[in-house]
Amino acid sequence: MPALREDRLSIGAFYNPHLAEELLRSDAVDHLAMADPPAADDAWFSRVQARFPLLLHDYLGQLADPLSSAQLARAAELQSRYRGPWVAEHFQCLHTANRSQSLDYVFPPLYTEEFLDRFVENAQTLRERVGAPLVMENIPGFFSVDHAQMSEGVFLERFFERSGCGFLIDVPHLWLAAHYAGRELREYLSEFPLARVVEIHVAGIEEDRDLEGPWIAPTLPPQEILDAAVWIAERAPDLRAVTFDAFSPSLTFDTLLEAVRGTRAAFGVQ
Amino acid sequence: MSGAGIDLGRSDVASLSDRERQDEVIRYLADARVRQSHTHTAPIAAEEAEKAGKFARFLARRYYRDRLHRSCRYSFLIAPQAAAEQVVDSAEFDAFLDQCALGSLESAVVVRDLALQRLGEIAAPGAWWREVLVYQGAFFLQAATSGRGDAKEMPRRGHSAVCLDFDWAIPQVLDRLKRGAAVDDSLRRPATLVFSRTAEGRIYVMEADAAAAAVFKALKPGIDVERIAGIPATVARETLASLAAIGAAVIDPVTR
Repeated sequence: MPALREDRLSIGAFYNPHLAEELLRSDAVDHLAMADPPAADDAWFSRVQARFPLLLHDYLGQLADPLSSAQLARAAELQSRYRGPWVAEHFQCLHTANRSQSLDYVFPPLYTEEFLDRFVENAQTLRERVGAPLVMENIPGFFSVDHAQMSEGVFLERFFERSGCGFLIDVPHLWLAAHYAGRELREYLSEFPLARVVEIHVAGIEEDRDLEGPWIAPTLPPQEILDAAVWIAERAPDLRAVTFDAFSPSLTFDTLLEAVRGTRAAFGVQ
Repeated sequence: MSGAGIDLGRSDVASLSDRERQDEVIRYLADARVRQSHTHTAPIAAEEAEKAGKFARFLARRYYRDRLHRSCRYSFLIAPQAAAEQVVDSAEFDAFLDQCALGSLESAVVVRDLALQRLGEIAAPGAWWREVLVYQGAFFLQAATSGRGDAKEMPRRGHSAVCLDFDWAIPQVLDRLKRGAAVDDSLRRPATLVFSRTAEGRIYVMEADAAAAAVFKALKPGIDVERIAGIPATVARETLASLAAIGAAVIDPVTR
């Protein structure tokens, strides 16, 4: 099982099964993040697994609620399969407590003391069950919700302080959160505990017809995102990996390759 | 459509936990009727409602685009220029967004019908085409229904489960389409399939024998499955348990 490189920053992408053959032919990608388990009929996966370090980035469960024993067992099984240096989850609460309704998309929790307690406790349980470090990814809000007791940055800082988890900082998510809050990105970033960052996500941003504004897209990361990522990296002594966060049937290998090469260039990785 | 928010009085709202308030936000985003009601209790200020509504439409379009893409792979192999998910960019879909309850069976049926109408306009490449579309439609209902229904009576069918009779051996037809092989008349033989989804979201398509089809079709609250005509009691019990395991039957509150 290949290990994440220790000699320099690892620059990778998400595993898109329809691009597996081309990924195996290329030497541009150092690691792959796994958003879904490989399909039973994925003929390429055994070679992919033999070639690339894999990072578990599946939906393991929402840490706003206790994970079920089945969810914990599934997370442990996936991690034993991939054996990555850490597993990832998100600061999200997308389905109701009784699971009767779901948004089926990342959505942030209310930033309150109650949710902070919930995330810390449930993250610790997940980390212990998978037997690997846990990193948590920030999730943007598109509109304001009343009743928040603290800012996103303070919520994350206090979470990382109490849980000891690592920070997977998604730069486009932060860019969007700052944009829709009417804040300047660097000023918004200053509220976040960048010293906790272990992994960075970069991705594209495109106009969305429903939002009538920008949102995350499986396209090339713009220079502003790459510049912010490098700025964060300069403040993140424990940073190990930068991942092009695009997982979509519409993603082409040319886009993936260009995005990874652009990221390598931005970080000065040959 | 099911899933409208519970009408809470002001004192009830004040006593909600933060987790319960989050649920109110989720219901607000998931269900257009909740957004349109004047009694919703989601902690969203009036000046943010327009933005929240845009986000709700974004979520719904994204959700159904993804479910159609996953469910209609076989018609895409035949006619990639007319992908089923293109329907989410239509004017009809825009109108539907004002009534959409994300993950409800009723909304899934509306979107399925829009997609089947569109795919039905493709020139049929063979006599089996219509049945491939019916198969995809039934699969889509499972993929796009996360709600579990309000019914409490047992036993009953899974909320989105269906049992369909085909004139073609559909599993073999689909396998040939996947391999790019020709579909010939040797596959023109009856098949009965049960489509279902478990509470955990796992989707099953099971070829049903006569007993499974009979038990499924007979399922209704209060029925004694051991008395279904022509099915030995032991077989009926085992068949019911098998249907429950794949979410096609609901026999106790736990499996809801």
